[in-house]
Amino acid sequence: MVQQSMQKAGPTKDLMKRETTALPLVTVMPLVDIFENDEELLIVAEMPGARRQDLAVKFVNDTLTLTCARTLEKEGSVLLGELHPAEYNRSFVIPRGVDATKITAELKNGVLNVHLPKGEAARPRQIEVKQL
Amino acid sequence: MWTRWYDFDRSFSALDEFQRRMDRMFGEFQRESPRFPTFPRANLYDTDTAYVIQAEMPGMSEKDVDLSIHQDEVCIEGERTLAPPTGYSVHRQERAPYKFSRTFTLPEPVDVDAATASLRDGILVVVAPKTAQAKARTIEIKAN
Repeated sequence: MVQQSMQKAGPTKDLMKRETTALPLVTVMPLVDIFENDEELLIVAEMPGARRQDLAVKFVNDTLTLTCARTLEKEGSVLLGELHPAEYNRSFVIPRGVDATKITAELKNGVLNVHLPKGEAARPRQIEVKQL
Repeated sequence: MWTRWYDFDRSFSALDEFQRRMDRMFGEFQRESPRFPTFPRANLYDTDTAYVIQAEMPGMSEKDVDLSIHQDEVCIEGERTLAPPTGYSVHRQERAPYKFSRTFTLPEPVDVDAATASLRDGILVVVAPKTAQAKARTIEIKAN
């Protein structure tokens, strides 16, 4: 009877399979620096252990979201454990005026740089004053 | 009465245990004091053939880190300097420059000449092979 009802509820089967002894994945908010110049906004996020293939940079509805699952190779028995597998996650509300189609990102040594170029309207302009 | 007191006391020990477990769960990223954070955070593993250290070093290249091993002591030293990119104004700065030195004492002296290290994606991995005497061996059991 119980088995039948469990079979009906499909997703619970996956729950049963889950390893209960595994460490729960910790969600980490990466530290960031935010810079700006006339051309762009620059977000520098610290994500040690992040690999390019695991990283997702999404821009939806004026919100930029950085996510990355960090895996660590576990070898042998643990004598000191300060690092765990973790998921980096942080969102930013980006002001209007950023050209979403031209956002670029690069990852180097576990540090992610996201460049958000400003659209024409948001760039500083010198306005000419006419003599009447 | 003593039994009652014991029950009372024990309920607190359960609370203590609960707190310990919660600390362990959430502790990793908040344990250190904000003024003197442990840097770099690291893992130390004992495999059958070697000791392996993983340490977080975001934004550092191999030039920024000095690694030395003396018998059973592994010392990681280095400096991370941070400068805002030129021509940019700063809106927010959470990352900090570090000058650090951390020493790991291994349970026994290791084979220093065979030790290797690599720095990739901001994680330093040091592999220090055990000496021949220290490696795990399987000993055959003979029947009489």
